[in-house]
Amino acid sequence: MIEKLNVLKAEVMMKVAGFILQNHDNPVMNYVAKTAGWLNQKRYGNNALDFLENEESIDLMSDDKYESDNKNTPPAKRNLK
Amino acid sequence: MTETKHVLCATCDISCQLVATRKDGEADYTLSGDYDNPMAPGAICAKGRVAQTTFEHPNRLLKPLKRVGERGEGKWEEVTWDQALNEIADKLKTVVSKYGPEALVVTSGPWNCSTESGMTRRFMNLLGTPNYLSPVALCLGNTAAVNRLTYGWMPLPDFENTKCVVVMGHNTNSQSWVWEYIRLKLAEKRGAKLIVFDPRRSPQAERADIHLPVKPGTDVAMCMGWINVIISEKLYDKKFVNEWCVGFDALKERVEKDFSLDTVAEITGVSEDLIRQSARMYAKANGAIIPWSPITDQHVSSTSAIRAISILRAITGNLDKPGGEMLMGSHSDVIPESQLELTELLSEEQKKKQLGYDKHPAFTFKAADLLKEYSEQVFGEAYPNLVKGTHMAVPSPTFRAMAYGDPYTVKAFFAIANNALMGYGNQHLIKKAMLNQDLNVCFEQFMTPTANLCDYVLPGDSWMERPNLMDTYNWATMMMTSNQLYKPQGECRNVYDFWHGLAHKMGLGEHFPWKSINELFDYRLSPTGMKFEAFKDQYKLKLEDYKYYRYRETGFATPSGKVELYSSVLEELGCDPLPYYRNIEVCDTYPLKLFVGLREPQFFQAGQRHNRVLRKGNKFPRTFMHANDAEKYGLKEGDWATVETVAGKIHMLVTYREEIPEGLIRIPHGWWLPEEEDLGAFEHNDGIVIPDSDDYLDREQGIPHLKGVPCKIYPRKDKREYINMEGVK
Repeated sequence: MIEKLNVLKAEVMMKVAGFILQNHDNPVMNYVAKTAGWLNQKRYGNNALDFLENEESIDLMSDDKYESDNKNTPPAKRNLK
Repeated sequence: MTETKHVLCATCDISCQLVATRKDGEADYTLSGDYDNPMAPGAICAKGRVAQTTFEHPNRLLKPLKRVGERGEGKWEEVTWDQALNEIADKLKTVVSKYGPEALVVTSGPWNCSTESGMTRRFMNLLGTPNYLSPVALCLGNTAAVNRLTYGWMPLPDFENTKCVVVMGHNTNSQSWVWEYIRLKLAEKRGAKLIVFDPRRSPQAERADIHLPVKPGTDVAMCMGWINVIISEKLYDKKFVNEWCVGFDALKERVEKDFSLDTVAEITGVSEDLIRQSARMYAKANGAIIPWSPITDQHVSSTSAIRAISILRAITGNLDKPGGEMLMGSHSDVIPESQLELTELLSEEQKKKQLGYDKHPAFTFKAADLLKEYSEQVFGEAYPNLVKGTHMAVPSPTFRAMAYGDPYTVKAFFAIANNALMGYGNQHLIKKAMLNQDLNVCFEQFMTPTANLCDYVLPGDSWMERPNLMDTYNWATMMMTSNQLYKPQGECRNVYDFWHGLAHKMGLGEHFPWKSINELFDYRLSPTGMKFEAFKDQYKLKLEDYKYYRYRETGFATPSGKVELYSSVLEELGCDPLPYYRNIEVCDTYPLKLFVGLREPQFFQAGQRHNRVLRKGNKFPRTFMHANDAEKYGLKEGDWATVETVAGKIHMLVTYREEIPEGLIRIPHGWWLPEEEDLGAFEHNDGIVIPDSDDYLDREQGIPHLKGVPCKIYPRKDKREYINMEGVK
């Protein structure tokens, strides 16, 4: 029974993920998809992705702040499609 | 008004979904992570964020080039695509008529030319050569092939529902394997346990529930120790093992005989108590995953390590279980690459000529042919080319054939979006091999060391300059799409245009009827009845409905129809059917061990070194080592050091890292210096110090050992003046 419930939950979650990832023609469905995506993140609290901001990894070059350099790099000129 | 497009990053092998936006009047898009993506929201790294500066760069190749000086001299003339393709076709015809079609070797970097859609193998199969090489032989592709030996497919970890994650040493973070990092962190937030195998105290190891500081190259022993605990404490899934596995008794005998816990503790350097605790944590989790890791792809006992991991997944009942490992097959909405590759046209005689076929058969046609019947029954594909790695030639024997004509002559070499000279072991051999060819062709974005040894260099587009239909490399039922943001620069073309053009020049044009990559995508999507443009607009990622425990209806795609703990395929190939332990030990001459890896946040493999924005954070190759070791060998932080093995020597800057255990040093992968006249191609690359003699190769796959090569380190004697950042634009 537990196994069946686990399977059902997992399969439904995957369908929901597919629904969120689709661009729906119907604006109501798009709104529902957006809301489902928002709820998905809310499962993890108000700032689900805080680790992307706060990571202090020794593998990131601590002696040279390349990320702050990047912020000041002007975008290059390029051909428009 | 803001214009928004979804785009699939192909900077690395992860394929993060990004969002490109620009306001009215703006020429350039700004890239960010897709926070609406429920699987890995916000995934993007610095390399992806500044990709425009990588491609919009003075070093970018914009026109086809033909060599006019000696190979490596750097003298070129610009030619038209038509002239280049005509001359390449003429020379290739001469090679084929003189030496046979197997005299053509093609190496391809699948991530860099992500739209090739099986066209490389299609061309090769039509021509009749089995000698396809890819760096996935050392990274992911070999895992896929070895996984098939056990249960027929390569599983995708179910992060969403898992209760325990085991990471084998690759330190996912916000700059490397970002997609997996986000999935992992979210799983941890849901309460999943984390177990990390890693000789060093990586950030991931620091936050793990259990960190197993295994000695380099001993992962297989640790896994076999776990299997011992799981069997002796009866923690395995008895029902699954009884109904769906073969060879359990033989496995039990092997672990009892060769992997007692005191033996495993001695081999790995981890206490028996910690081995038991971690094995129990993994086995008792109701849904546990061991995501793919490149670490075990690059061992002298790689096949055994990958097999041991596969066995763990199986005996704990985690295959196709929620929170476990999903055996998905490929997406039914798309014509798979395996079908487009036309492998059935390659004769049995030609398959047997695949270099490495007899000596190291695990990912060659020799193994694939033993699985094709069962794969077709279960997944509908005789030759599923999972992550482009399941029926390849073996790199070392291939480069030997190219260099020495043994066992037969190879005289044409194509490097398709692959800096091959920097990408495999024994770089000296690769150089010799390339110099011994009648025809070297490169399809590239930049003048790499590999391109510099070629006769023709053809300019390729970037992932921002092409649309994409991505089927997860034939691995899983996830299909992704990508918008083209910009026109290709100069005369840069899509890789499909290269194969299409060459095929027509070679008289194979009827097999390449699609006039453009978009037409090919339309064809691939014909099962849906949708054209690519419409499909792309509707789906940025399309997940196929997935049914867990599918094997209960189909069985497994192995000769027995079950999980083969004792591999009948390996036995038929003349290999040990069960995992065993093998490693390479230090000696007086080479008292340290080096490991290649630890991805650098600024670069992916041998790429991006020309980009000033990224290079500023990481100017030269650096070896990480413990300060005590540095002092012992007369070095201090910031010194140039020479690292030497039996294969050769390279130069690196010394960087202290406390988390690296004494006796071990880290070598970064793929370093060259685009700003230098010689491209810095033969002084810094890890491939120079990676031996590929038999002692250093995995027996079953023939891939080199990158995780624990005996070495020595000392102050650099020859001094060199570098152009430094002044030459990096």
